[in-house]
Amino acid sequence: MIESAVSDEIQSSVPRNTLSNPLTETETDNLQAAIQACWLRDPGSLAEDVKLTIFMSLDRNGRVNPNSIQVVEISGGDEDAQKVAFRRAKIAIISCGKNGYKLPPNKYERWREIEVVFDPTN
Amino acid sequence: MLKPFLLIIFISLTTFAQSAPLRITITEGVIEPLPYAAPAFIGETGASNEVANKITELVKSDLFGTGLFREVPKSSYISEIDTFSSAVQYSDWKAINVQALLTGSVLVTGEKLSVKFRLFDVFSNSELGKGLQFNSTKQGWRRIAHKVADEVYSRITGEQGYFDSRVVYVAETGKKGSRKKRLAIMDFDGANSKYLTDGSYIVLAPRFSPTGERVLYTSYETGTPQIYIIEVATAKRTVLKNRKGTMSFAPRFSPDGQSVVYSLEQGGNTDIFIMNLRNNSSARLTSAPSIETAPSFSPDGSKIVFESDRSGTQQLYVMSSLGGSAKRISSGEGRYGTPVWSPRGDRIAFTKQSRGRFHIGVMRVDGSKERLLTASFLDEGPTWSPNGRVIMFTRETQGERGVSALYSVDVSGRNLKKVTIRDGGSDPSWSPLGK
Repeated sequence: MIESAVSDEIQSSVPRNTLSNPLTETETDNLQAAIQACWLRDPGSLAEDVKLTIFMSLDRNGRVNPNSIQVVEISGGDEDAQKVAFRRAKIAIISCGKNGYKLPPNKYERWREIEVVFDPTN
Repeated sequence: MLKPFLLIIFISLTTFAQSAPLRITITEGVIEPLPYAAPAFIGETGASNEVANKITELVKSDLFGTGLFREVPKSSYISEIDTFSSAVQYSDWKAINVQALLTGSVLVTGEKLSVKFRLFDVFSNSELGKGLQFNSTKQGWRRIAHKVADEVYSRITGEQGYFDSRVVYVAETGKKGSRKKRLAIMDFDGANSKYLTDGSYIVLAPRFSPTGERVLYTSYETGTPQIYIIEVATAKRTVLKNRKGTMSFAPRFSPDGQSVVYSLEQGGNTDIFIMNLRNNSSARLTSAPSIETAPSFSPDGSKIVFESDRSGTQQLYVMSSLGGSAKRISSGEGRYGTPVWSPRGDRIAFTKQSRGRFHIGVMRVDGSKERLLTASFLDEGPTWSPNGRVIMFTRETQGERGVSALYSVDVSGRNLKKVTIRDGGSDPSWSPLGK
C-alpha cells in the first residue's frame, strides 16, 4: 500500500513541476500593479506601522479563493492596527481580483499559490 | 531495495512540488477615502423620522469631515434597507464597491430617544462588531450621533474616535488691537458654543483637565498674568496662588489631574514650576537664566517637553517630570515653540517659525522625523484630538483687518480645514473623549 501511494504521488507530481517557467518580470509587475491599485492606504493611521504577508490560492481563472486568505507573518502596530491592516489588505486582494487576475494560464503551477507582502513601512 | 529508493525520489519531488508560493511585495497603494454606504436610519415611528434624518446626516458629516471616508450615493444602491433587521445582500454592496455598510434605526418616545446601529464589513460578508444601542433624551441627539460616528470610526480604523469631544478656546470679537477675548467652549464641530468668561479682561491659553471637567487658563484681570482653574459645569473659578510679585502663565495639567506645570516669571527670569493641587505646594523644575516655558507632559507623566532659548534661539527640550537635566530635541533651522505631547505618546506637535513663515509640525519624541503640516503668515498653538490623529491650531491672517480663526489638519498633513465658529478664535484646547 505504501509503495503504491508513493508511486501515485510521483506520477501526479511530475507534470506539475516540469511544465511552467517562472513568471517574467512584466507578469509579476502587472500582478503587483493590480493589487496596489486597490490597496487603500491611510498615512496617518497606526496601521501604517504594520507589515504583513498574506497567503492566497487562486483558481485557473485567476480568481482568489476567499477562504484561502490567511496571514503568514505580521509585525508592527498593536492588535487593533494589525486587524485593520489585514482587513485593508484582504479587501485589496479580493476587490481587485474579483474578475480574476490576468496571469499566464500556462504557468498556473507558478501562481496557484501566492504570498503578498504588504509593506507600508518601506 | 526499491522502497528506500522510491522514498528518496518521493521526498525530493514532493519538496519540489511544494515549492514556495510566488512571492510579491507591495509598498505603494492608493490614498483615497474609504467608500461606505449609510442609508438613512429608519424612523421607527412617524415622530422619529425627523430625528432619524438629522442623526444620519450628522454621522455622515462627522465621517466625511475626517477626509478618510467617502459616502457612496444612494442613487448607486442596488439593495435597499427597509427595516433595521433587513438581511444584507453583500453582493449588491460589493458590486458598487462599498467596503462598509452602516444601518440604523431611531425611536422617539415622548422625550426619550433610542438609537440602534449595525456596521457591516462587506468584503468579509460579516458584521463588523456587534450592533449597539444608545439611549438619551431627544435633546441629546447630536451627542448620540457623535457617539455612533465614534463607534463606526473606531471599528473601521482600529483607532478611537474623536467626535464626542469638546474644544475650549479664546473667542475673539472686535478690531485687532482692541479685541474682546473670552473663554468659550463648544463641541468639536463648533456646535453648542457658549462663553465661560465675560470679556472684561484678557484671557489666554485655556487647557482642559484630563477628565474634561476643569479648565486652566491665564487671566490678566489683576493686571499681571495669573493662572485660574474654572469648573466647566458651574463656571466657578479659583486662582492658583503664587508668590507676590510673580507672573504665572502657560499652565497644563499633569495626566492624573493632580498637578499643574506652568511658567513663573520672577525678577526678569522665567522658569518652569509644578504645583500639587492637593496641598498647593510648588517646586521648581528648571533653573536657567533663559526663558523656559510652554511645558507639556508625556501621557505617562514621566517626562515634560518645553521650549527654551538657552541655546540662543527658541528650541524644544525634554526633561524628567521631576526636573533635572534636559535634552534638546529640535535641530532644524528656525525657532520652535508651544510643544504638545501626543495622547498616543509617539509624537510632539509644535509651532515653528522659519524664513518668515509659521508652521505647525510634528516630530518623534526624540526629535527625529520632523514634518511640517502647514505654512502661513501665522500658525501657532497646536492641540491634539483625543485620539492623537488630528491637530487643531490658530491661524491669523495678515494686516490691519487680520483675524484669528481655528483650523484643523490630519497628522498626515492632509485635510486642512477651517473650524466653524461664530467669532474669531485662538488658543484651542481639545478635551478628552466624552464618557
